[in-house]
Amino acid sequence: MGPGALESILNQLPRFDHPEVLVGLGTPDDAGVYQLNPELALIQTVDFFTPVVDDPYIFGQIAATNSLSDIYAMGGKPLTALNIVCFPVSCLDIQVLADILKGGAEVVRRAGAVLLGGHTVEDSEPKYGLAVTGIVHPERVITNRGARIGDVLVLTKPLGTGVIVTALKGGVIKDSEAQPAIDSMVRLNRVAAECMQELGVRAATDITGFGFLGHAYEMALGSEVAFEFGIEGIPWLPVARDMARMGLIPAGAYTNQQYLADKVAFTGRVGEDERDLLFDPQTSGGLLIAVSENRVEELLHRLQAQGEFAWVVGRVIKLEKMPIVICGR
Amino acid sequence: MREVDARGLDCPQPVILTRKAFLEAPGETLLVIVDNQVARDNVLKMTQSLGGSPEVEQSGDEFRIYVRPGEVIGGSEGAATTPVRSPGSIYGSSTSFHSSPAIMSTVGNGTVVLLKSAALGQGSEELGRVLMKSFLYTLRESPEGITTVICLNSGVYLTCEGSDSLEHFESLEKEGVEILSCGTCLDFFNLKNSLKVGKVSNMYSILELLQRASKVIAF
Repeated sequence: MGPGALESILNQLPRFDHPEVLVGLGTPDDAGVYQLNPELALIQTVDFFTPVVDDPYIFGQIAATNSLSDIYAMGGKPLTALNIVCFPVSCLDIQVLADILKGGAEVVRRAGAVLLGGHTVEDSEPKYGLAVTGIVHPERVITNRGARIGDVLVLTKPLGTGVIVTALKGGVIKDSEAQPAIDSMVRLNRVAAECMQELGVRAATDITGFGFLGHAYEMALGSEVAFEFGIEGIPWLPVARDMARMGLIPAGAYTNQQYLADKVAFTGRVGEDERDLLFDPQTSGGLLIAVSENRVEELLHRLQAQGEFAWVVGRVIKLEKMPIVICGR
Repeated sequence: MREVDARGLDCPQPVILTRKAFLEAPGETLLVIVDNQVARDNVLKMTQSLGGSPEVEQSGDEFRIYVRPGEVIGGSEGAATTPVRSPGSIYGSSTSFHSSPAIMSTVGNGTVVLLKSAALGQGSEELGRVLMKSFLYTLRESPEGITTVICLNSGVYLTCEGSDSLEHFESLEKEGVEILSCGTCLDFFNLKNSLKVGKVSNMYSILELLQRASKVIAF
Protein backbone atom coordinates (compact mmCIF):
# COMPACT_ATOMS: atom_id res chain seq x y z
CA MET A 1 0.00 0.00 0.00
CA GLY A 2 1.28 3.49 -0.84
CA PRO A 3 2.59 5.81 1.86
CA GLY A 4 -0.13 8.45 1.48
CA ALA A 5 -3.06 6.05 1.71
CA LEU A 6 -1.54 4.21 4.66
CA GLU A 7 -0.98 7.43 6.57
CA SER A 8 -4.62 8.48 6.17
CA ILE A 9 -5.81 5.13 7.56
CA LEU A 10 -3.41 4.98 10.47
CA ASN A 11 -4.48 8.47 11.49
CA GLN A 12 -7.96 7.08 12.20
CA LEU A 13 -6.70 4.60 14.78
CA PRO A 14 -6.69 5.41 18.49
CA ARG A 15 -3.30 6.32 19.90
CA PHE A 16 -1.58 4.14 22.45
CA ASP A 17 0.47 6.57 24.49
CA HIS A 18 1.81 4.16 27.09
CA PRO A 19 5.18 5.17 28.49
CA GLU A 20 6.52 1.75 27.52
CA VAL A 21 5.86 2.40 23.83
CA LEU A 22 9.17 3.71 22.53
CA VAL A 23 8.20 3.52 18.86
CA GLY A 24 4.55 3.05 17.92
CA LEU A 25 1.97 4.06 15.38
CA GLY A 26 2.57 7.75 16.06
CA THR A 27 5.78 7.85 14.07
CA PRO A 28 6.35 6.11 10.77
CA ASP A 29 9.15 3.66 11.48
CA ASP A 30 10.25 0.17 10.51
CA ALA A 31 9.00 -1.71 13.56
CA GLY A 32 7.33 -1.12 16.92
CA VAL A 33 9.43 -0.97 20.12
CA TYR A 34 8.08 -1.71 23.59
CA GLN A 35 10.17 -1.34 26.71
CA LEU A 36 10.03 -4.26 29.16
CA ASN A 37 12.50 -2.97 31.74
CA PRO A 38 15.37 -0.46 31.85
CA GLU A 39 17.66 -2.98 30.15
CA LEU A 40 15.40 -4.52 27.55
CA ALA A 41 12.93 -3.53 24.86
CA LEU A 42 10.99 -5.73 22.44
CA ILE A 43 10.95 -4.99 18.72
CA GLN A 44 8.01 -6.39 16.77
CA THR A 45 7.26 -6.44 13.09
CA VAL A 46 5.29 -8.38 10.50
CA ASP A 47 5.63 -8.40 6.73
CA PHE A 48 4.44 -10.76 4.00
CA PHE A 49 3.85 -10.57 0.27
CA THR A 50 3.18 -12.44 -2.97
CA PRO A 51 5.98 -14.28 -4.80
CA VAL A 52 8.62 -12.12 -6.45
CA VAL A 53 10.43 -15.04 -8.09
CA ASP A 54 9.27 -18.40 -9.48
CA ASP A 55 11.47 -20.59 -7.31
CA PRO A 56 9.55 -21.23 -4.05
CA TYR A 57 12.68 -21.88 -1.98
CA ILE A 58 14.24 -18.57 -3.08
CA PHE A 59 10.97 -16.74 -2.58
CA GLY A 60 10.85 -18.09 0.99
CA GLN A 61 14.36 -16.81 1.61
CA ILE A 62 13.62 -13.37 0.18
CA ALA A 63 10.39 -12.94 2.16
CA ALA A 64 12.04 -13.99 5.41
CA THR A 65 15.08 -11.76 4.84
CA ASN A 66 12.73 -8.87 4.16
CA SER A 67 10.74 -9.52 7.37
CA LEU A 68 13.86 -9.73 9.52
CA SER A 69 15.18 -6.51 8.03
CA ASP A 70 12.83 -4.34 10.11
CA ILE A 71 14.40 -5.69 13.31
CA TYR A 72 17.89 -4.89 12.03
CA ALA A 73 16.82 -1.43 10.92
CA MET A 74 15.92 -0.67 14.56
CA GLY A 75 19.37 -1.83 15.64
CA GLY A 76 17.94 -5.01 17.15
CA LYS A 77 18.68 -8.71 17.27
CA PRO A 78 15.90 -11.07 16.16
CA LEU A 79 14.93 -13.78 18.66
CA THR A 80 11.78 -15.52 17.46
CA ALA A 81 9.79 -15.74 14.25
CA LEU A 82 6.37 -17.02 13.21
CA ASN A 83 5.42 -17.97 9.66
CA ILE A 84 2.48 -16.16 8.14
CA VAL A 85 1.22 -17.96 5.06
CA CYS A 86 -1.55 -17.77 2.48
CA PHE A 87 -1.66 -20.69 0.07
CA PRO A 88 -4.03 -22.14 -2.57
CA VAL A 89 -3.91 -25.60 -1.00
CA SER A 90 -6.28 -27.14 -3.55
CA CYS A 91 -4.61 -25.78 -6.73
CA LEU A 92 -0.89 -25.80 -6.06
CA ASP A 93 1.34 -28.72 -5.21
CA ILE A 94 1.83 -28.74 -1.46
CA GLN A 95 5.55 -29.25 -2.04
CA VAL A 96 5.68 -25.65 -3.24
CA LEU A 97 4.57 -24.53 0.21
CA ALA A 98 7.10 -26.84 1.84
CA ASP A 99 9.86 -25.27 -0.24
CA ILE A 100 8.76 -21.72 0.61
CA LEU A 101 8.82 -22.56 4.31
CA LYS A 102 12.19 -24.30 4.00
CA GLY A 103 13.65 -21.18 2.42
CA GLY A 104 12.23 -19.02 5.20
CA ALA A 105 13.44 -21.35 7.95
CA GLU A 106 16.93 -21.40 6.48
CA VAL A 107 17.09 -17.59 6.71
CA VAL A 108 15.74 -17.56 10.28
CA ARG A 109 18.50 -19.99 11.18
CA ARG A 110 21.12 -17.82 9.50
CA ALA A 111 19.84 -14.85 11.48
CA GLY A 112 20.46 -16.76 14.71
CA ALA A 113 16.75 -16.65 15.60
CA VAL A 114 14.28 -19.49 16.11
CA LEU A 115 11.06 -20.36 14.32
CA LEU A 116 8.28 -21.03 16.82
CA GLY A 117 5.27 -21.71 14.61
CA GLY A 118 2.93 -19.90 12.28
CA HIS A 119 -0.47 -19.62 10.72
CA THR A 120 -1.79 -20.60 7.29
CA VAL A 121 -4.86 -19.31 5.47
CA GLU A 122 -6.21 -20.74 2.23
CA ASP A 123 -6.12 -18.09 -0.46
CA SER A 124 -6.07 -17.83 -4.25
CA GLU A 125 -2.48 -16.62 -4.41
CA PRO A 126 0.48 -17.64 -2.26
CA LYS A 127 1.77 -15.08 0.22
CA TYR A 128 4.52 -15.56 2.73
CA GLY A 129 6.43 -13.68 5.38
CA LEU A 130 7.30 -13.61 9.05
CA ALA A 131 6.16 -11.98 12.24
CA VAL A 132 9.41 -11.36 14.09
CA THR A 133 10.24 -10.40 17.64
CA GLY A 134 13.63 -9.01 18.48
CA ILE A 135 15.35 -7.25 21.33
CA VAL A 136 17.34 -4.07 21.81
CA HIS A 137 18.58 -1.99 24.71
CA PRO A 138 15.97 0.76 25.23
CA GLU A 139 18.63 3.45 25.01
CA ARG A 140 20.12 2.02 21.85
CA VAL A 141 17.06 1.92 19.64
CA ILE A 142 17.96 3.15 16.15
CA THR A 143 14.99 5.08 14.84
CA ASN A 144 14.00 7.33 11.96
CA ARG A 145 14.33 10.31 14.29
CA GLY A 146 18.01 10.43 15.13
CA ALA A 147 19.72 11.88 12.03
CA ARG A 148 21.72 15.04 12.75
CA ILE A 149 22.96 17.80 10.51
CA GLY A 150 26.42 16.92 9.26
CA ASP A 151 25.84 13.14 9.41
CA VAL A 152 26.87 11.13 6.37
CA LEU A 153 24.28 8.86 4.70
CA VAL A 154 25.37 5.32 3.87
CA LEU A 155 23.38 2.75 1.88
CA THR A 156 24.11 -0.98 2.13
CA LYS A 157 22.37 -2.42 -0.96
CA PRO A 158 22.04 -1.18 -4.53
CA LEU A 159 18.61 -0.11 -5.82
CA GLY A 160 16.42 -1.59 -8.52
CA THR A 161 14.80 -4.80 -7.20
CA GLY A 162 11.32 -3.56 -8.16
CA VAL A 163 12.03 -3.06 -11.86
CA ILE A 164 14.14 -6.23 -12.02
CA VAL A 165 11.40 -8.35 -10.47
CA THR A 166 8.95 -6.76 -12.93
CA ALA A 167 11.28 -7.54 -15.84
CA LEU A 168 11.75 -11.09 -14.61
CA LYS A 169 7.98 -11.63 -14.32
CA GLY A 170 7.58 -10.23 -17.82
CA GLY A 171 10.20 -12.58 -19.20
CA VAL A 172 12.36 -9.69 -20.45
CA ILE A 173 15.45 -10.82 -18.57
CA LYS A 174 16.85 -14.25 -17.87
CA ASP A 175 17.20 -15.68 -14.38
CA SER A 176 20.96 -15.22 -14.65
CA GLU A 177 20.55 -11.49 -15.26
CA ALA A 178 18.40 -11.21 -12.14
CA GLN A 179 20.91 -13.12 -10.01
CA PRO A 180 22.63 -10.04 -8.53
CA ALA A 181 19.21 -8.75 -7.45
CA ILE A 182 18.31 -12.12 -5.91
CA ASP A 183 21.65 -12.30 -4.09
CA SER A 184 20.96 -8.84 -2.75
CA MET A 185 17.42 -9.69 -1.61
CA VAL A 186 18.54 -12.76 0.36
CA ARG A 187 21.39 -10.94 2.09
CA LEU A 188 20.53 -10.19 5.72
CA ASN A 189 21.08 -6.70 7.08
CA ARG A 190 22.47 -8.35 10.19
CA VAL A 191 26.13 -7.33 9.90
CA ALA A 192 25.09 -3.77 9.13
CA ALA A 193 22.91 -3.71 12.26
CA GLU A 194 25.77 -5.04 14.40
CA CYS A 195 28.19 -2.46 13.01
CA MET A 196 25.68 0.32 13.67
CA GLN A 197 25.45 -0.70 17.33
CA GLU A 198 29.22 -1.00 17.69
CA LEU A 199 29.63 2.55 16.41
CA GLY A 200 26.72 4.13 18.28
CA VAL A 201 24.65 5.03 15.20
CA ARG A 202 21.39 6.78 16.14
CA ALA A 203 19.36 6.74 12.94
CA ALA A 204 18.67 4.24 10.18
CA THR A 205 15.84 2.76 8.16
CA ASP A 206 15.49 -0.13 5.78
CA ILE A 207 14.57 0.53 2.16
CA THR A 208 11.44 -1.38 1.16
CA GLY A 209 8.07 -0.65 -0.43
CA PHE A 210 8.10 3.16 -0.32
CA GLY A 211 11.32 3.15 -2.33
CA PHE A 212 14.64 4.76 -1.54
CA LEU A 213 13.26 8.27 -1.40
CA GLY A 214 10.07 7.29 0.43
CA HIS A 215 12.02 5.85 3.32
CA ALA A 216 14.66 8.58 3.18
CA TYR A 217 11.83 11.10 3.45
CA GLU A 218 10.35 9.39 6.54
CA MET A 219 13.75 9.55 8.17
CA ALA A 220 14.40 13.19 7.22
CA LEU A 221 10.92 14.12 8.45
CA GLY A 222 11.31 12.21 11.70
CA SER A 223 14.68 13.86 12.32
CA GLU A 224 13.51 17.34 11.26
CA VAL A 225 16.38 17.71 8.81
CA ALA A 226 16.88 17.46 5.06
CA PHE A 227 18.80 14.78 3.17
CA GLU A 228 20.98 15.64 0.21
CA PHE A 229 21.98 12.86 -2.18
CA GLY A 230 24.44 12.89 -5.07
CA ILE A 231 23.01 10.94 -7.98
CA GLU A 232 26.43 9.69 -9.00
CA GLY A 233 26.94 8.06 -5.62
CA ILE A 234 23.74 6.00 -5.74
CA PRO A 235 24.40 2.32 -6.48
CA TRP A 236 22.17 0.54 -9.02
CA LEU A 237 21.74 -3.17 -9.56
CA PRO A 238 23.02 -4.40 -12.94
CA VAL A 239 20.44 -3.98 -15.76
CA ALA A 240 18.14 -1.95 -13.46
CA ARG A 241 18.62 1.26 -15.46
CA ASP A 242 18.00 -0.54 -18.76
CA MET A 243 14.79 -2.03 -17.40
CA ALA A 244 13.65 1.38 -16.10
CA ARG A 245 14.25 2.92 -19.55
CA MET A 246 12.17 0.12 -21.01
CA GLY A 247 9.25 1.13 -18.82
CA LEU A 248 9.22 -2.00 -16.67
CA ILE A 249 8.27 0.11 -13.72
CA PRO A 250 5.92 -1.25 -11.06
CA ALA A 251 2.82 0.76 -10.20
CA GLY A 252 4.17 1.32 -6.68
CA ALA A 253 6.96 3.48 -8.09
CA TYR A 254 4.38 5.90 -9.49
CA THR A 255 2.45 5.93 -6.20
CA ASN A 256 5.66 6.71 -4.35
CA GLN A 257 6.62 9.39 -6.84
CA GLN A 258 3.22 11.02 -6.58
CA TYR A 259 3.32 11.03 -2.78
CA LEU A 260 6.78 12.61 -2.78
CA ALA A 261 6.23 15.07 -5.65
CA ASP A 262 6.35 18.17 -3.44
CA LYS A 263 8.99 16.80 -1.09
CA VAL A 264 11.87 16.13 -3.46
CA ALA A 265 13.94 18.71 -5.35
CA PHE A 266 16.15 17.71 -8.25
CA THR A 267 19.08 19.90 -9.18
CA GLY A 268 21.38 19.35 -12.15
CA ARG A 269 21.00 16.46 -14.54
CA VAL A 270 19.26 13.33 -13.29
CA GLY A 271 18.25 10.71 -15.86
CA GLU A 272 14.59 9.78 -16.07
CA ASP A 273 15.55 6.16 -15.45
CA GLU A 274 17.48 7.18 -12.36
CA ARG A 275 14.53 9.14 -11.06
CA ASP A 276 12.23 6.21 -11.58
CA LEU A 277 14.63 3.95 -9.70
CA LEU A 278 14.80 6.35 -6.76
CA PHE A 279 11.06 5.76 -6.29
CA ASP A 280 11.12 2.07 -7.19
CA PRO A 281 9.65 -0.07 -4.39
CA GLN A 282 12.37 -2.34 -3.03
CA THR A 283 12.00 -5.86 -1.74
CA SER A 284 14.39 -6.68 1.06
CA GLY A 285 16.42 -3.53 0.43
CA GLY A 286 19.43 -2.30 2.33
CA LEU A 287 19.77 -0.02 5.32
CA LEU A 288 20.07 3.73 4.94
CA ILE A 289 22.29 4.77 7.83
CA ALA A 290 22.99 8.28 9.16
CA VAL A 291 26.44 8.15 10.74
CA SER A 292 28.51 10.97 12.20
CA GLU A 293 31.25 12.18 9.90
CA ASN A 294 34.09 11.00 12.14
CA ARG A 295 32.72 7.46 12.24
CA VAL A 296 31.91 6.94 8.58
CA GLU A 297 35.33 5.59 7.60
CA GLU A 298 35.20 3.10 10.44
CA LEU A 299 31.68 2.00 9.48
CA LEU A 300 32.66 1.43 5.84
CA HIS A 301 35.81 -0.37 6.92
CA ARG A 302 33.96 -2.71 9.29
CA LEU A 303 31.26 -3.52 6.75
CA GLN A 304 33.73 -4.19 3.98
CA ALA A 305 35.95 -6.28 6.25
CA GLN A 306 32.98 -8.62 6.79
CA GLY A 307 32.20 -8.91 3.10
CA GLU A 308 29.33 -6.43 3.14
CA PHE A 309 28.74 -3.58 0.73
CA ALA A 310 28.30 0.07 1.60
CA TRP A 311 28.11 3.28 -0.39
CA VAL A 312 28.26 6.87 0.80
CA VAL A 313 25.22 8.36 -0.90
CA GLY A 314 24.61 11.72 0.75
CA ARG A 315 24.62 13.85 3.84
CA VAL A 316 22.25 15.38 6.35
CA ILE A 317 21.68 19.11 5.94
CA LYS A 318 19.54 21.79 7.52
CA LEU A 319 15.89 21.68 6.51
CA GLU A 320 15.14 24.75 4.46
CA LYS A 321 12.66 24.16 1.68
CA MET A 322 12.69 20.57 0.53
CA PRO A 323 13.33 17.62 2.85
CA ILE A 324 15.00 15.69 0.02
CA VAL A 325 17.46 17.18 -2.45
CA ILE A 326 18.94 15.15 -5.30
CA CYS A 327 22.05 16.68 -6.82
CA GLY A 328 22.48 15.74 -10.47
CA ARG A 329 25.58 15.90 -12.60
CA MET B 1 -2.38 -0.34 -38.19
CA ARG B 2 -1.40 -3.00 -35.71
CA GLU B 3 -3.23 -2.81 -32.43
CA VAL B 4 -2.44 -3.93 -28.91
CA ASP B 5 -5.42 -3.91 -26.59
CA ALA B 6 -3.92 -3.96 -23.12
CA ARG B 7 -6.99 -2.80 -21.24
CA GLY B 8 -7.52 -4.56 -17.94
CA LEU B 9 -3.94 -5.79 -17.83
CA ASP B 10 -1.57 -5.05 -14.99
CA CYS B 11 2.06 -4.00 -15.20
CA PRO B 12 4.21 -5.27 -16.86
CA GLN B 13 1.89 -6.94 -19.39
CA PRO B 14 1.06 -3.79 -21.42
CA VAL B 15 4.78 -3.10 -21.86
CA ILE B 16 5.58 -6.69 -22.75
CA LEU B 17 2.81 -6.90 -25.35
CA THR B 18 3.72 -3.53 -26.85
CA ARG B 19 7.38 -4.41 -27.06
CA LYS B 20 6.59 -7.68 -28.78
CA ALA B 21 4.33 -6.00 -31.34
CA PHE B 22 6.80 -3.16 -31.90
CA LEU B 23 9.73 -5.47 -32.50
CA GLU B 24 7.75 -7.80 -34.75
CA ALA B 25 6.88 -5.03 -37.17
CA PRO B 26 9.30 -2.17 -36.57
CA GLY B 27 8.21 -0.20 -39.65
CA GLU B 28 4.53 -0.03 -38.79
CA THR B 29 2.57 2.40 -36.70
CA LEU B 30 1.18 0.73 -33.64
CA LEU B 31 -1.90 1.56 -31.61
CA VAL B 32 -1.77 0.59 -27.95
CA ILE B 33 -4.87 0.95 -25.81
CA VAL B 34 -4.48 1.00 -22.04
CA ASP B 35 -6.79 2.01 -19.23
CA ASN B 36 -4.48 3.30 -16.51
CA GLN B 37 -1.76 5.91 -16.15
CA VAL B 38 0.93 3.51 -15.01
CA ALA B 39 0.52 1.48 -18.18
CA ARG B 40 0.43 4.68 -20.24
CA ASP B 41 3.67 6.03 -18.75
CA ASN B 42 5.44 2.68 -18.99
CA VAL B 43 4.43 2.15 -22.61
CA LEU B 44 5.65 5.69 -23.42
CA LYS B 45 9.01 5.03 -21.80
CA MET B 46 9.39 1.70 -23.52
CA THR B 47 8.48 2.85 -27.02
CA GLN B 48 10.73 5.91 -26.69
CA SER B 49 13.60 3.72 -25.54
CA LEU B 50 13.15 1.70 -28.73
CA GLY B 51 13.24 4.92 -30.77
CA GLY B 52 9.52 5.20 -31.44
CA SER B 53 7.54 8.42 -31.28
CA PRO B 54 4.46 7.82 -29.16
CA GLU B 55 1.52 10.19 -28.97
CA VAL B 56 -1.33 9.91 -26.55
CA GLU B 57 -5.02 10.52 -27.00
CA GLN B 58 -7.15 10.31 -23.92
CA SER B 59 -10.84 9.51 -23.95
CA GLY B 60 -12.41 8.94 -20.56
CA ASP B 61 -10.35 6.41 -18.68
CA GLU B 62 -8.72 5.11 -21.82
CA PHE B 63 -5.45 6.11 -23.37
CA ARG B 64 -4.84 5.42 -27.04
CA ILE B 65 -1.13 5.53 -27.73
CA TYR B 66 -0.06 5.82 -31.36
CA VAL B 67 3.52 4.72 -31.76
CA ARG B 68 5.13 5.82 -34.96
CA PRO B 69 8.21 3.92 -35.88
CA GLY B 70 10.78 6.74 -35.82
CA GLU B 71 14.53 6.32 -35.80
CA VAL B 72 15.66 3.28 -33.91
CA ILE B 73 18.29 4.32 -31.42
CA GLY B 74 21.06 1.78 -31.60
CA GLY B 75 18.93 -0.16 -34.02
CA SER B 76 19.20 -1.25 -37.60
CA GLU B 77 20.43 1.05 -40.34
CA GLY B 78 17.30 0.32 -42.36
CA ALA B 79 15.28 2.42 -39.98
CA ALA B 80 17.04 5.56 -41.20
CA THR B 81 14.53 6.08 -43.98
CA THR B 82 11.52 6.21 -41.69
CA PRO B 83 10.08 9.54 -40.56
CA VAL B 84 11.52 11.01 -37.43
CA ARG B 85 9.27 13.71 -36.17
CA SER B 86 6.18 13.91 -34.08
CA PRO B 87 5.38 17.41 -32.89
CA GLY B 88 3.14 17.95 -29.92
CA SER B 89 3.52 17.29 -26.24
CA ILE B 90 3.40 13.63 -25.37
CA TYR B 91 0.94 14.46 -22.63
CA GLY B 92 -1.17 16.93 -24.53
CA SER B 93 -3.68 16.31 -27.23
CA SER B 94 -1.92 15.02 -30.27
CA THR B 95 -1.35 17.36 -33.17
CA SER B 96 -1.07 16.43 -36.78
CA PHE B 97 2.00 14.56 -37.85
CA HIS B 98 4.48 16.36 -40.04
CA SER B 99 7.27 14.62 -41.73
CA SER B 100 9.79 16.73 -43.56
CA PRO B 101 12.11 14.45 -45.43
CA ALA B 102 13.38 17.50 -47.31
CA ILE B 103 15.28 18.68 -44.28
CA MET B 104 16.74 15.55 -42.80
CA SER B 105 15.82 11.95 -42.96
CA THR B 106 17.63 11.05 -39.78
CA VAL B 107 18.36 12.93 -36.62
CA GLY B 108 21.78 11.34 -36.62
CA ASN B 109 22.96 13.42 -39.56
CA GLY B 110 21.53 16.73 -38.53
CA THR B 111 22.39 19.76 -36.49
CA VAL B 112 21.07 20.03 -32.96
CA VAL B 113 20.67 23.41 -31.29
CA LEU B 114 21.08 23.29 -27.52
CA LEU B 115 19.67 26.24 -25.55
CA LYS B 116 21.01 26.08 -22.01
CA SER B 117 19.23 29.18 -20.74
CA ALA B 118 16.55 31.67 -21.69
CA ALA B 119 19.16 34.30 -22.47
CA LEU B 120 21.84 34.09 -25.12
CA GLY B 121 25.38 34.66 -23.96
CA GLN B 122 26.69 36.05 -20.71
CA GLY B 123 26.88 39.62 -19.53
CA SER B 124 23.60 41.47 -19.56
CA GLU B 125 20.58 39.27 -18.87
CA GLU B 126 18.33 41.78 -20.60
CA LEU B 127 20.52 41.86 -23.69
CA GLY B 128 20.71 38.07 -23.59
CA ARG B 129 16.94 37.80 -23.90
CA VAL B 130 16.83 40.18 -26.83
CA LEU B 131 19.60 38.21 -28.53
CA MET B 132 17.82 34.92 -27.93
CA LYS B 133 14.65 36.20 -29.54
CA SER B 134 16.65 37.49 -32.44
CA PHE B 135 18.52 34.20 -32.74
CA LEU B 136 15.29 32.19 -32.81
CA TYR B 137 13.81 34.52 -35.40
CA THR B 138 16.89 34.09 -37.57
CA LEU B 139 16.85 30.34 -37.06
CA ARG B 140 13.22 30.25 -38.12
CA GLU B 141 14.08 32.10 -41.30
CA SER B 142 16.81 29.66 -42.22
CA PRO B 143 16.32 26.33 -40.49
CA GLU B 144 18.19 24.29 -43.12
CA GLY B 145 19.98 21.34 -41.61
CA ILE B 146 18.50 21.86 -38.15
CA THR B 147 16.72 18.75 -36.92
CA THR B 148 16.21 19.46 -33.26
CA VAL B 149 16.16 22.32 -30.76
CA ILE B 150 16.67 21.23 -27.16
CA CYS B 151 15.83 23.55 -24.27
CA LEU B 152 17.50 22.95 -20.93
CA ASN B 153 17.53 24.63 -17.54
CA SER B 154 15.96 28.12 -17.81
CA GLY B 155 15.88 27.56 -21.59
CA VAL B 156 12.55 25.78 -21.03
CA TYR B 157 10.97 29.17 -20.35
CA LEU B 158 11.33 29.74 -24.09
CA THR B 159 8.85 26.97 -24.95
CA CYS B 160 6.36 27.78 -22.20
CA GLU B 161 3.48 30.16 -21.74
CA GLY B 162 4.63 33.77 -21.63
CA SER B 163 7.60 33.27 -23.95
CA ASP B 164 7.91 35.87 -26.69
CA SER B 165 9.48 33.30 -29.01
CA LEU B 166 6.60 30.82 -29.21
CA GLU B 167 5.73 31.79 -32.78
CA HIS B 168 9.31 31.15 -33.86
CA PHE B 169 9.24 27.68 -32.35
CA GLU B 170 5.85 26.95 -33.89
CA SER B 171 7.18 27.98 -37.25
CA LEU B 172 10.26 25.81 -36.80
CA GLU B 173 8.06 22.91 -35.81
CA LYS B 174 6.03 23.34 -38.98
CA GLU B 175 9.27 23.12 -40.90
CA GLY B 176 9.80 19.75 -39.29
CA VAL B 177 12.26 20.79 -36.59
CA GLU B 178 11.73 18.85 -33.40
CA ILE B 179 11.42 21.06 -30.32
CA LEU B 180 12.32 19.34 -27.06
CA SER B 181 12.13 20.64 -23.51
CA CYS B 182 13.86 18.88 -20.66
CA GLY B 183 11.24 17.32 -18.38
CA THR B 184 13.34 17.64 -15.25
CA CYS B 185 13.77 21.35 -15.97
CA LEU B 186 10.04 21.84 -16.54
CA ASP B 187 9.41 20.10 -13.24
CA PHE B 188 12.01 22.16 -11.48
CA PHE B 189 10.53 25.47 -12.62
CA ASN B 190 7.02 24.10 -12.13
CA LEU B 191 6.26 24.62 -15.82
CA LYS B 192 5.01 21.16 -16.71
CA ASN B 193 1.50 22.43 -17.45
CA SER B 194 2.70 25.58 -19.20
CA LEU B 195 4.52 23.96 -22.12
CA LYS B 196 3.17 25.50 -25.31
CA VAL B 197 5.27 24.05 -28.07
CA GLY B 198 7.18 20.86 -28.72
CA LYS B 199 7.61 17.74 -26.63
CA VAL B 200 8.87 16.88 -23.18
CA SER B 201 12.08 14.90 -23.32
CA ASN B 202 14.43 13.26 -20.88
CA MET B 203 18.16 13.30 -20.38
CA TYR B 204 18.58 9.87 -21.88
CA SER B 205 16.99 10.89 -25.16
CA ILE B 206 18.73 14.26 -25.14
CA LEU B 207 22.12 12.64 -24.67
CA GLU B 208 21.40 10.24 -27.51
CA LEU B 209 20.48 13.14 -29.79
CA LEU B 210 23.63 15.05 -28.91
CA GLN B 211 25.81 11.99 -29.41
CA ARG B 212 24.29 11.24 -32.78
CA ALA B 213 24.16 14.78 -34.09
CA SER B 214 26.58 15.67 -36.84
CA LYS B 215 26.88 19.11 -35.25
CA VAL B 216 25.71 20.68 -32.02
CA ILE B 217 25.21 24.43 -31.68
CA ALA B 218 25.08 25.23 -27.99
CA PHE B 219 24.28 28.47 -26.22
